[in-house]
Amino acid sequence: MSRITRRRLLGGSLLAMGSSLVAPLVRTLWAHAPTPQPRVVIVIEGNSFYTRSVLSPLAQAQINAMTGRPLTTEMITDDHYEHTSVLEIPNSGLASAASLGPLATHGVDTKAAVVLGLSCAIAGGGHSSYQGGFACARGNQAQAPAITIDAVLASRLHGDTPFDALRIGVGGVNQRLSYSTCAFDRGRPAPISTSPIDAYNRLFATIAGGTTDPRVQKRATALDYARSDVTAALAAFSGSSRERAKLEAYLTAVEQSQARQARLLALAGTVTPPPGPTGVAGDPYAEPDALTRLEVQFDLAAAALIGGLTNVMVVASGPGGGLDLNYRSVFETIPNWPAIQMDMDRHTLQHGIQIPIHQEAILAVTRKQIDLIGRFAAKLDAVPEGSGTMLDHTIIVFISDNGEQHHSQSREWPVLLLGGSALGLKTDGRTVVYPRIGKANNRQVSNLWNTLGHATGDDTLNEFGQEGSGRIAKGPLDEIYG
Amino acid sequence: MRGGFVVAAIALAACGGEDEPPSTEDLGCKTLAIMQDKCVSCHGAPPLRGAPMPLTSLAHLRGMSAIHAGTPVAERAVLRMQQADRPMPPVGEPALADGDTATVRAWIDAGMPACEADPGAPPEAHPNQIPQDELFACNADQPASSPARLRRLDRSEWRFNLPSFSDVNNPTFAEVNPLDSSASDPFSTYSSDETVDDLVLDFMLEPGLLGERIGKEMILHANSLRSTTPELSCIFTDAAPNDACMTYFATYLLERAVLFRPALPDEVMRLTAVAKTVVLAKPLAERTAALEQVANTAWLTTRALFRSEIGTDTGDGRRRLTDDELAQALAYALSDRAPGAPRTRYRGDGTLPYPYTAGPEGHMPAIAAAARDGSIQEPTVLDALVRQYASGQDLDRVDLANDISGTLSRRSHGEYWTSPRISGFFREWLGYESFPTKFKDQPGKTSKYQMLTDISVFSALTASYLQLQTGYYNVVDAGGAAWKEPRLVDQLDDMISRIVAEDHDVLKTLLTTTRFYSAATADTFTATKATHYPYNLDAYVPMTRDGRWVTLPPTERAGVLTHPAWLATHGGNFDDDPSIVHRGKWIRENLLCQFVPPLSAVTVQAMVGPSSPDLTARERLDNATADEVCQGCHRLMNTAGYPFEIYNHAGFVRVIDHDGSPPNGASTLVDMPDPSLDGPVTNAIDFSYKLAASHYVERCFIRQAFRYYMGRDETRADACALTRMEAAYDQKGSFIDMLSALVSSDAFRYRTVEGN
Repeated sequence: MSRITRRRLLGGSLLAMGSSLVAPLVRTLWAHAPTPQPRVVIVIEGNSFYTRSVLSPLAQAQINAMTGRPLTTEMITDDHYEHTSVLEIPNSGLASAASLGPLATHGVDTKAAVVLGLSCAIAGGGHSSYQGGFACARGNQAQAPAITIDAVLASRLHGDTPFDALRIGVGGVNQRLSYSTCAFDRGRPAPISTSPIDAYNRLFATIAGGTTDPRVQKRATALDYARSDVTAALAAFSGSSRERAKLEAYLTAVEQSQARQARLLALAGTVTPPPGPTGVAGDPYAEPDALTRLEVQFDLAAAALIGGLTNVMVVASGPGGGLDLNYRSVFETIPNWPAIQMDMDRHTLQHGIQIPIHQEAILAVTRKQIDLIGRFAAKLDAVPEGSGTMLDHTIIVFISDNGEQHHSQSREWPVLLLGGSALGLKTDGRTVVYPRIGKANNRQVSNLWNTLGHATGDDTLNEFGQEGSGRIAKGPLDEIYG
Repeated sequence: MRGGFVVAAIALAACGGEDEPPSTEDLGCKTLAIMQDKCVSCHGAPPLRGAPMPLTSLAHLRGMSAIHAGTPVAERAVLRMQQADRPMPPVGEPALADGDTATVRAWIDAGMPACEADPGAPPEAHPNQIPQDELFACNADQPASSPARLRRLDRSEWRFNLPSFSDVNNPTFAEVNPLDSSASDPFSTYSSDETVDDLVLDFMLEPGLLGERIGKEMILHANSLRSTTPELSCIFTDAAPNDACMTYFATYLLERAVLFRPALPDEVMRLTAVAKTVVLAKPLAERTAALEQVANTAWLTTRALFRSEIGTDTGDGRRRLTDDELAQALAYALSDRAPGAPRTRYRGDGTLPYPYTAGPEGHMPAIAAAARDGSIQEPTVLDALVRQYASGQDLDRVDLANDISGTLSRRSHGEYWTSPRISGFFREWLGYESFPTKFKDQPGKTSKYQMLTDISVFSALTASYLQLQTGYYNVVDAGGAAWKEPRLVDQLDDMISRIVAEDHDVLKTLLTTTRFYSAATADTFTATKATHYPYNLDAYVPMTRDGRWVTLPPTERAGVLTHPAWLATHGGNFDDDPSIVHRGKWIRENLLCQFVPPLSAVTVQAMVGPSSPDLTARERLDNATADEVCQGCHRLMNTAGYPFEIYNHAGFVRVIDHDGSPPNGASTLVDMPDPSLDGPVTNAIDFSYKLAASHYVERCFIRQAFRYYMGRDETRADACALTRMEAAYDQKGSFIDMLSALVSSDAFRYRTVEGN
C-alpha cells in the first residue's frame, strides 16, 4: 500500500477549498462556456446482465450472417461471434432489444450504443470479479487489486465539485456500505453507499437544512473540536514519520470535511434537493424492493449531477456479488409468477436461468434498470449545456461487474453507452460486436476504460489495468470513439 | 527485468578475463551474472510465475532452502540445473550456457565468495520466505522490541467499546461502521496505514453512528451510573451546571467512554469547552440532547480513535509501553474491548430488568486496576490477567450476550468459552469466519445425501445448509420454547473453545480430535433436520448440550482440517471445482509457513478446463497444471490438497467422486519443509495425524499466533519471543501458556521508533 502523506492528500483540496465561495458562479459560467466539464456515470449491475437483454433483432441478424451457428433466443451469445473483423451495425434498432424499449420511451435511444464482445479474462469470473473488471486486474474478495477506473477519472475530473466522486447504489436491505467494487488503490477499497437514506444525508442534508439546521450545527461543532484535538496531538507526537502520517491524514480529513460543509452550504441557493426520506411506512428510501430503492438512488444521482456536486458517479445494483436483492416490483408484473416466490432473491432467480419464467423475470429486471437509466439520461438531456445538452457532455456506461452470466468466466462484458456525443462518443444508435475472446480483433474492457480517458481529455490513457502481455490492443475503441 | 539486466552487465564487467583462472571474486560475479541473466525473470523480488524464492543476490543463494530444511539454496539450484526431468531454467526459457552449472558449483566449493557488484538481498517480502530455523535462533544479547505504532481502532473494537442500552434486541447497531481493517493485512489485528480519512470520517458522522445514535447510548449508560457515581448527576439536573460539573462530565466521557485511561489536562480542557458551549446553549428540557451531542463529539478525540503504542524512553534505545498502553495492548490481545469498556444490557431470559454484561466498572476491570496501580508491568501480574480473561467454562455463556439473543439460544452453544481474540485467532488463521459467504452448488453432491440436493434449490438439505451459514433457523422443543441453534461457524468455535479451555496438546488435538459440536435436529421443523448431514450423521442430534457433542468415526474425521466449516471455506462452488488448490495452498502457507507465490504473480491463464461428467476435480486440475510452468506452484498446492478429495466442496464425506469412481485422497507429499512429512499419505486423516506430529508445524503455528497477537509479521529480531513462546508451549502444549509467554516478552512490552 502506498504511504499516506499529508501533502499528497491536501494537494488538490486546498485549491478547491479556496474556490468554494465562488463555486456557484463557476457553475453558472460553465453553462455558457465553450467546453463544459466532462462527466462520467458508471452504472453497475452486480451480477451480470445478459447479452440477450441488449441485443436488437437487427444486430442478431447481422451476427447470424457471419456465423455457422445462428442465434435464436440464447441469453448468452458470445460463442456465436465467429467473425474476425469488427461488426458495426448503425441504426441498429436498439429499442427493439428485449430490455431496451425504455430508451425510446425516454427519447434517448438515438443517443445510445451497445457494445458486445469485450472480454476481461484477467478479472476472473464467478458471482463477481469484485474490483477486477474496473481495475482490469485479478479480482478477489479479500483485497482490492488496484485502482479502479472511477477513481482514476475522479482524480482528474473533480474540478471544484464538493465530491471527487459519488458511489451509491443498493445492496441487501440491511447493507449500508459495500467495499467490494471500487478502489482508490491496491488494498484500499472505495465504499459504495448502499443506503439511500445515508446517501441523501451525505449529499443533501446540509444543502436542504442550511446553517440553522441542528445537524449542520452539530457537525460543525464536532469538526471544530476534532481539528483542535488532532492539532494538539500532532504537536505532542513523538513517534515515527510513518505513524505521524496517520494523524496528519486525520487532520486532513477533518479539514476536507469542513471545506465540503462550507461548499455545500454555499450551494444551498442553487441546488434543489430532491424529497428526502420520510421515515413513514411506504417510504421508498426504505423499501425492501431493490429496484424501488435504486430508483431513489437515481433520483439522488440526477439531482447531484445537475446540481454540480460531482462529475464522476458510480450507481451500483447489488455490487460485489451482493445477491440478496429482492425484485418484488418486477415479479408482480410477470404473469403467472408464483405468489409464493415473490420474495425470491437474485441468486435464486439467476440459478433458475434455464426456466423460461426466470428468463422473463431477469430480462424484466434489466428492462427496469434500463428504464431508470433512461429516465436519468433524459433529465440530463433536458439541461442545456454548451452547444448541446448536459447528456452530450456526460458519458453513461451500463456494465456488470462480472461479465456474461451468473457464474461468469469473464468472456464477454456487454455494455450500454449513453450520451457523451460532445466528447466524441459515437452514441448514435449503433451496435458494435467485437469477435469473441480468442478470435482476432477481440477487444477488452480495458479498451473501454481507455476510451473514457480519451473522451474526457486524457489521451495518454492507453494501457489501463494490469493485463501486461495479455493486453490485446492499446488505446480506445475506434468503433465507438473518435 | 530491466534492473536485472543492468546488474548483470555490472556483474560481468566486474569479472576477470576469460583466459585466466577465475579468482574467488570472479566466481562470485560470474555466478551472480548467471543468476541475473537466466533466473531473475522468474526469481525476481517478488518472484513471478511460480518461482518460490528470489535469486537477485548471492545472499539468496547462500540462504537455506525454505522447502528443503538444512540445504542451502545454492545446492538446490545446482541440483535443478542438472535435473533432466525438471530442469532450471524450465524448457522454453533461455537455456544455460556450457559451463554455467560448473561455475556455480565451483562458486559453492570456493565457499560462496562475494562479488562487489552484488546488490545484496532486499528484506523478504513475505515472512514465509524467512527460513524457519532462523526465526527460532534467539540471541539474548540483542534487546528486543517492536516498532512504535499508532493503531486506529477497527470495526469490531469500536463497536464493542460502545454501550448499547436502548434496544437489547439489536445490540449490534454499530456492527456496520467504516473502520474496516485493511484488506491487504493478513489478520484484522494488523495495523499498517489505517487512518481516518475523509470518507471514513464522513461515514462515522452519519446519523446511525456519531451523528446521533451513539451519543444516545452513551448518555443512557452515563445515566445508569448515577447511583454509583453521584458526581454525574449535576449535569443531568442542574439548570446551569458549574465549571466543576462540566469538567467532571467531560472527564467522565473521556476516561470511561472513549479513552479508557486517564485523560490529559489539555484533552479535558478541550472537551469541557465543547460541553459548556453546547449545554449552556440549550434549556434544561433539552439537556439530554445536548449531552448526547457532547458524547458524540468525544468520540472524535484523536487518542480515542488511535491507540498509542509509543512508550517512554528506557535509556537503552528502546521505549517501554506505559502502564496504560500496556493495559490496552493486553486487553486488545484478549478482547475487542478496552479495559473498562462499558457494560451492555442483554435480554437474558426475558425477565426485567435486563441484566448487564459486566459490572458498573465495565469489562476487564482487573486490567484497568493493574494499570492504575502500576502492577501491570510485573510479568506475574500479566500472566494472571491472561489466565483470568482467556477462557473457561460457563453454563450461561454471558460472553455470547452481544451476539445471540436470548438465554435459550446461548445455551444451545457449548459450555466452554474463549476470549474474543482467542476465538478470533482461530477463526482468522483457519479462515472459517468467511464460510457464510461461500456459495455451494448442491452441497451434498457425491455424498450419501446426493439424492436430497439434486435440482431443486428448495430441497431440505440445501435449505438446511443455508441455515448453517446464516443461522436463520429455530428449534422448538416439546414445550414450545424456541431458539436458534448454532451456525456451522459457531459449532467450530465451540469445538475449538473446548480444546483451548482444556489446554493440553492444543495443536495436536486440534488436528486429530474426533469430538465435534453439532446443532440439534430433534425438532419439529423439516428444514433443520438436515443440519447434521455435513457430519455424515444419520441419527438426529438431541437438544441437550451433552447430546450436541458428537464423536465422529475416526475413519471419517480427524480435527479441524476435516471439519465441514474449514473444508467448505476452502472449497470451490461445485463438487468438481479445484478445491484441491485452495486447501493445499492454505496448508502450505498457514500450517507449513511456506511461500506460495500469489495469484497476482501468475502471468498465465490459471483456470481448469470445462466441467465434464467424466472428469473428477483431480483430473481437471492435473490436466490443467501438468505443464512445468504451472508445476512451480501447483506441485506444492496440489500434493497438499489431494488428501481432502475424500470430502466434497462443502465438506461432506464423498461416497463417490464426480465421475462415479471411488473417492481418492491419496497423495505423495513432496517438498515438505519437514522431511519427515515427505512421502505417501492415504487421505486427509492420515495427513492430519502426520501434521500433528511435526515439530515444524508446531513452530509455524507459533508464528501464526505471533502475527495475530502482535499485529505484524515476525522477523529474525523476534527470535527470542518466538523461542520463549515455543518453550512455554512445549511444557504441555498449552495455548494459554504460549500466549502468556508472548505478552510478557520484550517484543510485546517494548517499542523502538523507526528511524531512531
